[in-house]
Amino acid sequence: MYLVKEKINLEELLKNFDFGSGKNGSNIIFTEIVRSDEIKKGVFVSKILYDAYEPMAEKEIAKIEKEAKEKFPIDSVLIKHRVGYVDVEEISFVVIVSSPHREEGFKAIQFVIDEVKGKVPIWKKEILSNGETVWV
Amino acid sequence: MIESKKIRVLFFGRLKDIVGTNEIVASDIKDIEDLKKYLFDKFPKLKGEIFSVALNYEIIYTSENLKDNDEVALIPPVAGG
Repeated sequence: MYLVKEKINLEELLKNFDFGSGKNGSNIIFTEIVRSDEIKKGVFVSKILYDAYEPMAEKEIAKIEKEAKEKFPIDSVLIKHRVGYVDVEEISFVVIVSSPHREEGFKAIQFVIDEVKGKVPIWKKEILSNGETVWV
Repeated sequence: MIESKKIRVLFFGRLKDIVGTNEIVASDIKDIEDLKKYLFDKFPKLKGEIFSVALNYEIIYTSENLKDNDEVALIPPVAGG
């Protein structure tokens, strides 16, 4: 499952990730964290609600993972995305790419991030400090 | 007696707020064009919205025929991450 409802614990993810038992020199970790942007004077983002079309989102992320492995000489990929309410400073999205060399790892992780953000049916609604909500 | 054809229609993101519900069931709809007409009549505010259509979890670009138990989702521009 790529979508998770619980808080993402990066240490736990890393503990269980396959770093290639010596064959991968490059391990790149990307995390996206909810920012407390000031939307208008004195009004900040306090949390984000991530809404997803879950069965389709799972299928789309699986396709992206497969495509990344076909396009780039990388070994393992981990993708997790939160759904539901995510507070400021919590992780909303994680990608880890493990590969023998860094060049392909960076290209692959950029590809995965762009594809997930651009194609997967996930939407976010900002919950503001004054109680208003805004679909992004 | 002819059984009626039921189509599950799901709304996401801002479209949920516009129509005021997560999903509806539409009966006896021939194809996607027909469904869009039905939805625009039922929810006139949808007319100005930008969205793609997914049929059984795949984005479609043409007006496909619908069959009983199909699941259609209205997909506004995505914003993950």
